[in-house]
Amino acid sequence: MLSVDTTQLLKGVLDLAVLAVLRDDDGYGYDILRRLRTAGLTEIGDASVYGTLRRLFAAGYLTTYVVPSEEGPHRKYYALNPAGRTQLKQGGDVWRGFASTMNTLLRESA
Amino acid sequence: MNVEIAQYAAQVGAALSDLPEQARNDLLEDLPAHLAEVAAEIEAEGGGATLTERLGPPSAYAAELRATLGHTGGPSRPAAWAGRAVSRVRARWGRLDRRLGPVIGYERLGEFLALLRPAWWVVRGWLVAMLVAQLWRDGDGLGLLPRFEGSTVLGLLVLIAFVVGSIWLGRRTTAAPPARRRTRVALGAATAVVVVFGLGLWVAADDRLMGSFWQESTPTSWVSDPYNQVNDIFVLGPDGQIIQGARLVDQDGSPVVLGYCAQRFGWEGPGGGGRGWEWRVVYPSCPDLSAPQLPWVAVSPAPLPWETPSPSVAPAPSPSPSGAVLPSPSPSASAGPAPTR
Repeated sequence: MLSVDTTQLLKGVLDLAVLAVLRDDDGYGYDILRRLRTAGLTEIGDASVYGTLRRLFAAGYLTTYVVPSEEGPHRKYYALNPAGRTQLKQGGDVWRGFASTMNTLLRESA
Repeated sequence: MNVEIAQYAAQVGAALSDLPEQARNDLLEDLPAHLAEVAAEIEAEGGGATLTERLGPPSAYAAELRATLGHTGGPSRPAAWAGRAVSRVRARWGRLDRRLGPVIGYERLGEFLALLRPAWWVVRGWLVAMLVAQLWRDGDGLGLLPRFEGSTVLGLLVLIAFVVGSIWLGRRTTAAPPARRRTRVALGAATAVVVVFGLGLWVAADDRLMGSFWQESTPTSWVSDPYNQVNDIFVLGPDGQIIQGARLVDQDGSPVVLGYCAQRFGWEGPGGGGRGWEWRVVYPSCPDLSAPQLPWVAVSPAPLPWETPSPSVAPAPSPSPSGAVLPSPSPSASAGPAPTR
């Protein structure tokens, strides 16, 4: 039985999605989650974003800095570093190739 | 709120306790700070009361975190090691499989072994029947057919039942391996027991066949044991009279058990073959075996073959039955004209 749901598809491209929303502006955890949801990935959970950020950071694609906040806790901001930008570009190319292949396939089968 | 955050983070950490330490620390290091951030945002949005209401239960959060690692069941170190070992063995078997298959004309060796599966089912049924018969019986040797209460017919029926059952089980487990892990483990253990029993049976049968073959075909075995045909022992005193109830001992003081009657007596003695029976062996030991007709027994004190009788020993009318005439430790004196080995 074939089941395609967004969660399954998202798993493969979550790294790329997080890198993409950080391309223009740095962001902190909850902010990044909000950007992804606003962009249309409504099913994404906080743990997914947090885990992905930690992993991308550990892999050396992100830098972090802490911004003190007047009211409430400090916010940890994530920013793309050059390695992250390279990764985003390469991942984007792979994705576009893959997406166009899938589009062709689906158009033929429709 | 801070207590709630700490609790939530701790529960998430507990759910991830099987992860390798490094990966786990990377994930959890920043979690309380992140949760505090989230809590503040939720509050600013005027949202729900607790973290659990907004983020779901800690176990679900942990599962989602785990998914971002790129693999679901994060294996612990020993499990990972075992996994690698298994895949190494698999890879080696795969190479062997492909290399040995063509030697016997198959693409893979496993292909041929799969064909032998029904043969194994039959052998397995036979082995289980033998094992059951073996556990059932008491005494008596082991044949190649199971026997129950000495009945071959009953044994055959049981054999057929077990073989049919084994084939049925084989077909079933091949078509659909048992889903429950416990069942699979139990089946594997039972198979191991049957295989070990089969090997034991094979060795025992081989041993016995080799033994009888050797005895029948090599006359030296008869030559090498001059006592093979001794049925009973008659001990004679210097007067040529048979000494009743005589005992034979070797140089260590252990009784010499010779002859069919003596050995049988020994095994059937009280205490079931314990120490008690040893000194009950007296000669002559066959109750109904008549004394050998020798020209010089009880007729006249003829000179014994191995020594000249001492003149001082007169033929006594009634030889003392037991005690006084313990034979000398030298075995040659006890068994009459001793053949040399």
